[in-house]
Amino acid sequence: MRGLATLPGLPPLLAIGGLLAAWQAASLAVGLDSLPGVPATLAAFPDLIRDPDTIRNIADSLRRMVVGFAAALALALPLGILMGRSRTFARLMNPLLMVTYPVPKAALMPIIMLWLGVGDLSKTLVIVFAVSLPVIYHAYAGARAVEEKMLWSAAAMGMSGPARLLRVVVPAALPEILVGCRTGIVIALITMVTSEMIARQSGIGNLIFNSLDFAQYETVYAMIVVVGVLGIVLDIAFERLRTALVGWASPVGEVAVASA
Amino acid sequence: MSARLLARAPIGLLPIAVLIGIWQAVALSGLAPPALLPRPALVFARVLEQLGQPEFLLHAAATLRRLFAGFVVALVLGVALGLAAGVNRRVDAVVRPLVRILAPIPKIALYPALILTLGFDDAPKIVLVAADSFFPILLATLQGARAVEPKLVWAARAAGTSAAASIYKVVLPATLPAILTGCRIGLVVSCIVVFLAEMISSTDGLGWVLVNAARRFQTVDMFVPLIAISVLGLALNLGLSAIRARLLVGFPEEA
Amino acid sequence: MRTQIAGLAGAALVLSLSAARAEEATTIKVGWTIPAEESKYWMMRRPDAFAGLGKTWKIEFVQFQGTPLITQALAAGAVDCGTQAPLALAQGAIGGGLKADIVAQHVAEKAGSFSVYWAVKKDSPITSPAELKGKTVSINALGGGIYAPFALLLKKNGVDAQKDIKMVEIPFPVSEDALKTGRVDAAVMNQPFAAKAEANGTIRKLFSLADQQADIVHTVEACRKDFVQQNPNLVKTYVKAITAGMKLALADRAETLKVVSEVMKVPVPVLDTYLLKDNDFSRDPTAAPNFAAIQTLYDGYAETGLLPRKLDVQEFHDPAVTAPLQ
Repeated sequence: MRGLATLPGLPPLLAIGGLLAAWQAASLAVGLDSLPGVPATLAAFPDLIRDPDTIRNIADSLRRMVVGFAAALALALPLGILMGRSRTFARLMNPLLMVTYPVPKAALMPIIMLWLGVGDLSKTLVIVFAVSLPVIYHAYAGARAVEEKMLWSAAAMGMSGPARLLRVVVPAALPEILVGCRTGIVIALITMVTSEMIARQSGIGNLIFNSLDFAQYETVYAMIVVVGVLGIVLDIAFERLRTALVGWASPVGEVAVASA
Repeated sequence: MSARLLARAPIGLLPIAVLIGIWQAVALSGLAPPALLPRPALVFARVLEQLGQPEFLLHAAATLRRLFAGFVVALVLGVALGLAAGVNRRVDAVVRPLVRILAPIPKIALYPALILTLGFDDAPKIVLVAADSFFPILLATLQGARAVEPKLVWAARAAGTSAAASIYKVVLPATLPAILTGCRIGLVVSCIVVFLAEMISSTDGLGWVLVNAARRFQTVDMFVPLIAISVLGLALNLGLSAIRARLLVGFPEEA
Repeated sequence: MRTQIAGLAGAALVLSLSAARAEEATTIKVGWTIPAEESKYWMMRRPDAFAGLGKTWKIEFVQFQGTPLITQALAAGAVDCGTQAPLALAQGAIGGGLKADIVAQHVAEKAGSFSVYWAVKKDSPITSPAELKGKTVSINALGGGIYAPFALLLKKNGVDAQKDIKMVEIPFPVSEDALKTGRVDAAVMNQPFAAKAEANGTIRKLFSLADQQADIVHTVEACRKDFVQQNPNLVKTYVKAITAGMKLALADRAETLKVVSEVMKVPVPVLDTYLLKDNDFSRDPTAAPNFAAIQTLYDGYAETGLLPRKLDVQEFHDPAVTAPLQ
């Protein structure tokens, strides 16, 4: 039985199968139009794929997500790392972050729309803001936890401040930073959809919310499946990247707590 | 001596003051019409006024209640599952694909179904908050548990600790910093999600206060719940920092 | 030499300024939403059917989630014209200082047309509005435009909407399910969900808005007064296009179904159950606004407290740009 669980590829399939079964069971138990079952949702796909707008919508959303994610990394990584290394800088920035993050940007959309229009810029900005949250905090934690000994040794060997930052702190903090990026991808996908709730021009969220407004629930859930698939693909790609970058940081074998 | 003073000064207030200054400048300059962006002084005056109104406090309490309940559920489930998956490969094999699929789904799209099955009051909002803040906590705990030095566990087992106890006595404390980082993120997500849920469908709570004011074009009243959730988030975060300082006494990064 | 250049520059400046004042914009920014704006959907999807559209004048369409957001966009100057519910427009005027003109009308009710109604489950023991005391009733938006006629009707039946019933917000598409699960005792029904529920045989009508006011206006088209002042000809062209679009939509139902389906991503068979049929809202053939009906609505809003004061609908009336234009 233990062997079954370690067969590559089988656990994910079992998990997906279990999920679909649970969804279908819930749909039957609840018996409402607003929770369609698996077959009805799958039946919505052919029409969706045949509509050229669907691909365009998905592409628009993905483009905003990628741009937003990249911009968030560019801004939040240096910020978080600096906060981790400088007590003063952390104390300077922390309250500002604690005060601005909890505010849902959707509530500020009217003003954002006024300045940035209803197009890509306002939605991408919302994504940047949301993704920066986990990236900053994990980068901060990771940079903070870098062993002082390593930095002392590096300084003793003549490494300058900036060089220490780049060649000691960043690699040491990388595992933690990558956790932040992984959460960031999840949040990017979610925000990509919710940012299109208020000002709808195009996108996956646009399709979802328009369909919700019209009780086209099969379409809603079909698009949710699309988002789920996107999540799987991105996460698998990310795992590959993570192993390549910080494979050395993972302990060999699992933490042998139980010998069963 | 001056370095000490600098260390004690609440310099964190500076960026916030700058932000409010920018707000004031923009509101005065006419870049945004007063119908959309009222002056900070007006908003803060209204906030102080509302703090004395029992009706407003009831709304804030409702939001806080749902936020807290959802966050606690997410915390317990996220830490439990994260630790289990971190130490046991079988659990990990099941959890990993489920997380991959479920994490990025915008759970807000399931909100209508939630309302119909769970009713209108706190339950659907708490479930939504828990569902959304669960994943950051899970991901952080999972990674943290996996990164625990095996030596620590071997030492404990060698000293006679049982398998289960070593999770509780060794892995959990070692994973605490990661868990707390996940909590920080989960807390913010909770604030945002509870507000959005109340904006979409509710009859009370800070989110409803905002939507109600927006519909009646009372712009100053719109900003009051935003300030409220911001302050709430700040207070909760500060509380979390205090707890973190307590729990992580002795950890090198806290020194 | 310098004074000559300054003189020339000054003259050029004055000339360019006056030229700018004389020249109107050629693009009009229009806010839209779904559903029920068939003339605008025609402009979006069949621009060739309108004189000069896309060539001598252009429309930049911006979609919004609901009309209150369009009110904010109008107040902010982010759009020039847009769909408005009469209540949102009034609240924008009073609360936000929005100055706009009602130039056309999209959908309304009249005798014989669809009227937004409240329904109960088919087998519910409730048979009259008076029996709603102590029950849970849903509306799509608390404090929205249909709340006032609803509250006034209940008042006539001895029920205080604020105190005697529990009101919850449920969006229109979810009303049928809400009744089925028993979460609410009475739910508000709008098209196309009403048609769907009636076809399913799950609901029974309790009362409708028409029982309170016969000619309720649901959505109008409003334009900012300052934009109208600066670009009178552009606005007139646009208003004429709305009338033309309405005529096209009413004349060719089959094509309208296709256009609407393209815009809303709803399959044609679903639209066919109600769109432009007898069980649909009424549309004025020239998209002319019914100012008298809107005034009655405003009086009702003031009475139920949705508006802080009485409002004169003539504040929103500029005959020079009101449909139908010759």
